[in-house]
Amino acid sequence: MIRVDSLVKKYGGRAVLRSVTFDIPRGQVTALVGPSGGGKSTLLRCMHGLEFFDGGTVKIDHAELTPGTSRKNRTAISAIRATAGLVFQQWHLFAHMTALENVMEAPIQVQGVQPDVALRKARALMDKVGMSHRENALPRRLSGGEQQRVAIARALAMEPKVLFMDEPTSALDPQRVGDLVELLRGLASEGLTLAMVTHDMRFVVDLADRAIVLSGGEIIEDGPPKAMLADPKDARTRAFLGLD
Amino acid sequence: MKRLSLGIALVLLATACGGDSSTGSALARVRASGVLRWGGDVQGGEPYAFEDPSHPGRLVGFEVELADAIARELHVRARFVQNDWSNLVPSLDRGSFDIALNGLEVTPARSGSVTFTRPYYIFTEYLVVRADETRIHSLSDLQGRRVGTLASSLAWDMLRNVGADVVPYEGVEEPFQDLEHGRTDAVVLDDIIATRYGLNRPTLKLAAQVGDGYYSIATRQNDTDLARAIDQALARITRSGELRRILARSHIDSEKQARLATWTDQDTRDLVGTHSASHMSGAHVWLFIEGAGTTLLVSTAAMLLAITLGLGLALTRRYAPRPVALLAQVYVELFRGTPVLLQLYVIYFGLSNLSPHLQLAALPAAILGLGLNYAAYESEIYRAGMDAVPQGQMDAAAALNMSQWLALRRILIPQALRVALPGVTNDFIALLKDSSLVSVITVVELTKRMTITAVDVRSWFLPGLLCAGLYLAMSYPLSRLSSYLEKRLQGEP
Repeated sequence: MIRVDSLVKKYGGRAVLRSVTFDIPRGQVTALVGPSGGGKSTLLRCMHGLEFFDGGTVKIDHAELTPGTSRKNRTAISAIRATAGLVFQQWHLFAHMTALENVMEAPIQVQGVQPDVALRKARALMDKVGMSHRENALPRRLSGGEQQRVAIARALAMEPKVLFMDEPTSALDPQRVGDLVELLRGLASEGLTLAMVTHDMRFVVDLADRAIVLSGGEIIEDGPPKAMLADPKDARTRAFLGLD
Repeated sequence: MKRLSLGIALVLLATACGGDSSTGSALARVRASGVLRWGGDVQGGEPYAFEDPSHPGRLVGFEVELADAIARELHVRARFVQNDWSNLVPSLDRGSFDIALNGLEVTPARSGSVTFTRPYYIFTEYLVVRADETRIHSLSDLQGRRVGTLASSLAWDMLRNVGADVVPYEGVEEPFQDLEHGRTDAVVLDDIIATRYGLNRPTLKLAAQVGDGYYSIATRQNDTDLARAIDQALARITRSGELRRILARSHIDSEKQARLATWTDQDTRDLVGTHSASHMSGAHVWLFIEGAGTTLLVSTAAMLLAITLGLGLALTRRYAPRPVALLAQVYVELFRGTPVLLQLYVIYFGLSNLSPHLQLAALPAAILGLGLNYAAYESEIYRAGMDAVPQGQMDAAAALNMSQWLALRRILIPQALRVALPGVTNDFIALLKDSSLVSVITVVELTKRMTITAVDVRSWFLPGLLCAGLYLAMSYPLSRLSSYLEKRLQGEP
């Protein structure tokens, strides 16, 4: 479903991603973990076309993205975004629209869905993420956890095959993390491919099939989270997990 | 206690008397100071009172010579006081100078508010038309036609009486320029102005002489002794032949001026007449409401233009390629950095000089001028509004596969406008008042209507009050709207 091959990203000559390569099969729940500044969020932004990269390729479903701003690449970015949704760490709900309008906006404006159809779908999604009672609230009236649920519904409204999430637990208390795990498990069981950047290992162990550890712009370890937690191979993974 | 209050009353009475006696005799005051201050406007130009082109700073003209001659007769010196021509009478009233001597025509409206001396010049009203004009031969042919003249002049009154659509100008060059360009059908002005600024153009011709008028010296209504002294001095200057010699030096003497030598006090009384002050009437109020309508139309249309263009400029500066963005920046600096009055002149008078295809009617020119100017200010407000929207909003739109244009239209611009809205409403209120500037390009809006009426009824008080009331009636709802919007944008929808 997702194939990242030899991805290189530099900021002013300093490489933040040095030849990163991995595959994620359809339906897998993958966590990109590692210390802060390890390149996780940058990797996610590169995969979604929000940032250019300097070498390698990103392939999601049938769309292949390469370095540069060619017309072919712009088409690829559009195709990738049609396949993969993204939930930002700060959610970025459209501030001038209600929760429900946030969910309806892109289907109507981008996909050309009829407003009444989009409304029905949006209501169903708001129900699915447990936000039906706040559908007319403006984002600034919602708590962090509530905004995140609306952001998930907004991404799902575009019917993606893949969902990217950036630090989904950073603004949640433990009780809400539990609710989120439950929600995401349900989505995964419906066949959605999930890839999320996080450094919350408890959340990873509870939810993910696989953890990819990024440190210093490289993948240093890759495997099932439980096994990794029990017996990390790399010294840097041990340090990150706080086992030393 | 009783004695004390009597004492206070005496002091007050003495003060009151003292104040009164100091304003007693204007003639005594002029004699005591040794200076006769006379008001005029050098911008009226040749041949009245103007700066000598070969000696900048030195004042020449037939009225300068006349003022000197009169001062000599009174054994004092003449001192010129520069004053905007249209405000000569109010400035005379408040004591800026002792007499007004600057091509002041004897009109009924002026006769009621000042004391005129005998005239020093008899002029003829010229009806000027384009050389190929065949329909206009007399004043009565002007009914319903657009005719240019100076506001509040004798010609202004004549034209209103025959039912012409009078277009008011503030300068002497522009009425003839607009006549040439077909913006008006005729111009009626006195022969001195018409000969120098109109009939020297080959495209224009004299259609008819439509009446005589008189230039007189104005004094304050209560300064009767000064008026009499100046009248007698003028009579001596006229009879001695000096006046004709002064006129001849400025090449404006004519056979008609012979009439001045036999002028009597009775002639002055007949000319000035006894005019009871006219009052504000329902017709005036209706004209004011019309003027307010023009103000509202000009400001609203200009604001719509400014909002649209301003938004385009702000977007161009943020998103267009660098050279284009630079052009937008140049536009903003140009229109913010030069006076809107100048921009109006260029758009109305300047463009029509360049090419007849660029000729705009007064109302569209007014709307365009104000709109182009305010667009520069609007664009800065929108730019600040766009800067206030977090980058994450556009990232989120991009992540949902929105094109940049769609994201701008649906996400960035609506949020930026909300931030900008209070500022925009403020600008609209400012524009409402700035729209009074368009009177310089012959649009009669509320303020212009007020100044015209003030001359008619010889008072600024009621017209000023009504004018202020109408401006407030238009701007107050806007400022309420502004504070309502500000509150609402901070709260729930």
